[in-house]
Amino acid sequence: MTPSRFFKIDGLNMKKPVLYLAQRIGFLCLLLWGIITIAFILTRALGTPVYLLVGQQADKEIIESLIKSMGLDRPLYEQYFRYFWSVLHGNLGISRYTFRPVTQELSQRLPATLELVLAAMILITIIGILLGISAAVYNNTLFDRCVQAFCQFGASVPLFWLGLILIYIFFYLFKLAPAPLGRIRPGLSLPKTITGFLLVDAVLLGDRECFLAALKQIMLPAVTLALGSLPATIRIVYLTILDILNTPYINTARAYSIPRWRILFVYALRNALVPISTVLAMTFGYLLSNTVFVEAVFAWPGIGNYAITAMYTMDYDPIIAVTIVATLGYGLAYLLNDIFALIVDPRVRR
Amino acid sequence: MKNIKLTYVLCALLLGFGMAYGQRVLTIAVPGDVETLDPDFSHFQMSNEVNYNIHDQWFQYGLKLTPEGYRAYDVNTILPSAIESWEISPDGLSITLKIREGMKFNHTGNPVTVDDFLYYFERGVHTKSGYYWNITMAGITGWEKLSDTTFKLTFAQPSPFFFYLFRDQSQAPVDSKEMQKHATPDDPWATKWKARNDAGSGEFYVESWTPGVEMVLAANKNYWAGPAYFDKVILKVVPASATRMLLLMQGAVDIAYNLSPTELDAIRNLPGIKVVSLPSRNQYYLGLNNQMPPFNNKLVRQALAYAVPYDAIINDVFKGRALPPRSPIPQRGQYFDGSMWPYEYNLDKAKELLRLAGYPNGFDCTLSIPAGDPVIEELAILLQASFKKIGVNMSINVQPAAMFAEGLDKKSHQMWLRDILWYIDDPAYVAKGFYYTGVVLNWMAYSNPELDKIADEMMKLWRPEDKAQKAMLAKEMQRILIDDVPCLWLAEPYYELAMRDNIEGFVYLPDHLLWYYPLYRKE
Repeated sequence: MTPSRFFKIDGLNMKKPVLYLAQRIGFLCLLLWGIITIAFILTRALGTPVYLLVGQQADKEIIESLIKSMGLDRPLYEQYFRYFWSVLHGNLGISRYTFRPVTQELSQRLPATLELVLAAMILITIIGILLGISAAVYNNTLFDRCVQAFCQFGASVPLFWLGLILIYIFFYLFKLAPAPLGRIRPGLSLPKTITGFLLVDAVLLGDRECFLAALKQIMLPAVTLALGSLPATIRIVYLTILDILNTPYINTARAYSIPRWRILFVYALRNALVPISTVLAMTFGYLLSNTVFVEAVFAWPGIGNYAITAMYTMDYDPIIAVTIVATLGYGLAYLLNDIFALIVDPRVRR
Repeated sequence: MKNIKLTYVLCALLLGFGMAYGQRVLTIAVPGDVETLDPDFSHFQMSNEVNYNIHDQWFQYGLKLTPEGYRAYDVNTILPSAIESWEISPDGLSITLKIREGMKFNHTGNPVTVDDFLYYFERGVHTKSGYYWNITMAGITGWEKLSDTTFKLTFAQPSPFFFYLFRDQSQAPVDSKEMQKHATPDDPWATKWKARNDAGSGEFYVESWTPGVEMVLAANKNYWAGPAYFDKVILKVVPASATRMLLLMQGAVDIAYNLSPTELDAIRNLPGIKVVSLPSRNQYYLGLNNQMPPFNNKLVRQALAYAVPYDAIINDVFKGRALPPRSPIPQRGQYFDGSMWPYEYNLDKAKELLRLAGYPNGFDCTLSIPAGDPVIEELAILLQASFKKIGVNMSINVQPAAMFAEGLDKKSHQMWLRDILWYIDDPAYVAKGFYYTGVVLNWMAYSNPELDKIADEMMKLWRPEDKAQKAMLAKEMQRILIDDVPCLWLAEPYYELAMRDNIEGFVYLPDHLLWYYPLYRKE
């Protein structure tokens, strides 16, 4: 459905949707500001990185000069405004360990995480919707029970452990998966980076070997990540469809003997789209912040591992930057969901 | 389509070359990224290790066999490396050093000159970095170029451990010409550039570095002692220790770092794997703040020393892979004397001492520990349970690493728990660096003028013929510390390293850095 058509339906009334979106974007900005402030205060409250940076043997003089050069001798509010000002200018600071701009480091690591999250999202969307609908249709059968049991398992198992078990089975025992050593097997690399997404770049460069190698590498981590979030998606789809299947309009459709697949995929699914897209948006944000565990187990060079390192070393700027990215991920996913709801659900428009 | 074909041809060619030349590659799974390539600012294990391997240090230790049959450093033999020969003045107040000629820096091909050695002194003093620590600890007051191949150092007083300090990873010539090119007005010593760039003349050089993914080191084919067996050493970042273990079990990596005691036990006897395991000079301490009550009372400190479950620590926490404390000097240290150690797990004696100290009902206290270290957490919980039995209620305060480090530096922890690896095997260094009144590492805020005097005396003994007198003083130092108990000595864990069983040539170094140069693969 194109926007022009949707606006026509509403009788040229563009004010409300635009206002609604502006409100949403405004809320996202407010959220970002809040997150930056909280992250700033929390990192400062957890101690200064100075003593870790200089090591145990440093004397008072070097500690003081470092505190000064990092601006930590200034009042907290001044540090805060300085930081906020630089963030507004797109400068996320520099890492005290690598001496490189955080934006540069993030731009190298974010595509790895996004690629993994998107691969997991594809799995979650397809499997989640299929299993959710089937379980709702075959409600109270053995199949339904199996799906519910699978959901219980997926929701309760820690990702870290699940990843290790999958590595143990597929890499160690049966040698079906490659060594969990990041995005591509050692010794192989692409001649250049275009989007940063290995799979996409491999297709663009026509490099079959790299594509297959990268696909093999991403398989297990993507499945691990997906398994952790599948239960929520399945359950939402299941409950929504179950609800819809019991509504009068579906019964009416049944009475008109409209084919079953048509009832399900056209009439029922359409009404379930908004709740489903909401849970998917939520899942996206969740995955973005939960890749940490999967990245650690599969040595995936994404922002999760970056965040862990930064946390251990109390590297202020990278910690806040990762928080900002995760918030943005959440916020943008919700925003997309709101726009999507605006398009498919006439009730939202009014 | 052309592109695809070209890529295939290139791949095939590369594969062919690789096979024809049979590149020897050593792959190591490491827990985290290399932090910095500036050895001056490195106090992290991974950075130190890489810096040790890509720089050619002034000296090396000679080797000897340990009782376990491993080749290990020998503090009594110093061998030349970047410094070819040296001569100490009779009064010990100066040393003339001659550099090895014909050496080149790996990345630029610049020859290694005396200026490169002296540049680092200036840099160390101005940046107050790790180099500065070594300069002050060795008591160096002057450095002077004598000729194109020789230079002279002068000391405030003869140094007993000059050679021990100057085989450190940071004590190596660095390409000063290249460094100066990258100096800027607000960074005159190129610290930002050096953190990311290799300018050494060592056995290996940094070929590529993808942060968070891997670092590839290549062998220096022109190294003065001949190239290393391995053409390449790849350090693969694998954050999860269980994954590192599985990679090693499968043979996907040759060596896996930082496996937990449980993981090491799980793979110790598997075919294809061996675990290097030998006593080390690493010590775990429960530090007591000697200025804060109740630990300003010696009897209280002694009481706690009788409430440490020594056997349980060795068996439960370290799975038997640790030595019990027998002296402030580790069992594998020079001048160790275990004959004066009175402490054992004896709660009655501990209670009696507490009563004498005026705390018949015990007291409350707080132990600070850094977050994220399972061994330290286990130790803390074990000690908490044991102290409770004598009425000492110790609460555990888990802090972020940064906060914990700050507390140590400010001596604001009432109690703290951590380990220290004494890579300089000399009682004078430990006394002067750790137990001496007011020094930065004296996190116990401990002060005993008698001990300070002995430390000062030991610092004056630098000749080989002074050994007997040093042994006497070292014994006195151990006696005083055992009696004073400024901290509780908990255990001396083994050094352990898991590798494939075809990796040979391992050399144990005092700082627990892995030296890649002597390693080879048994065919």
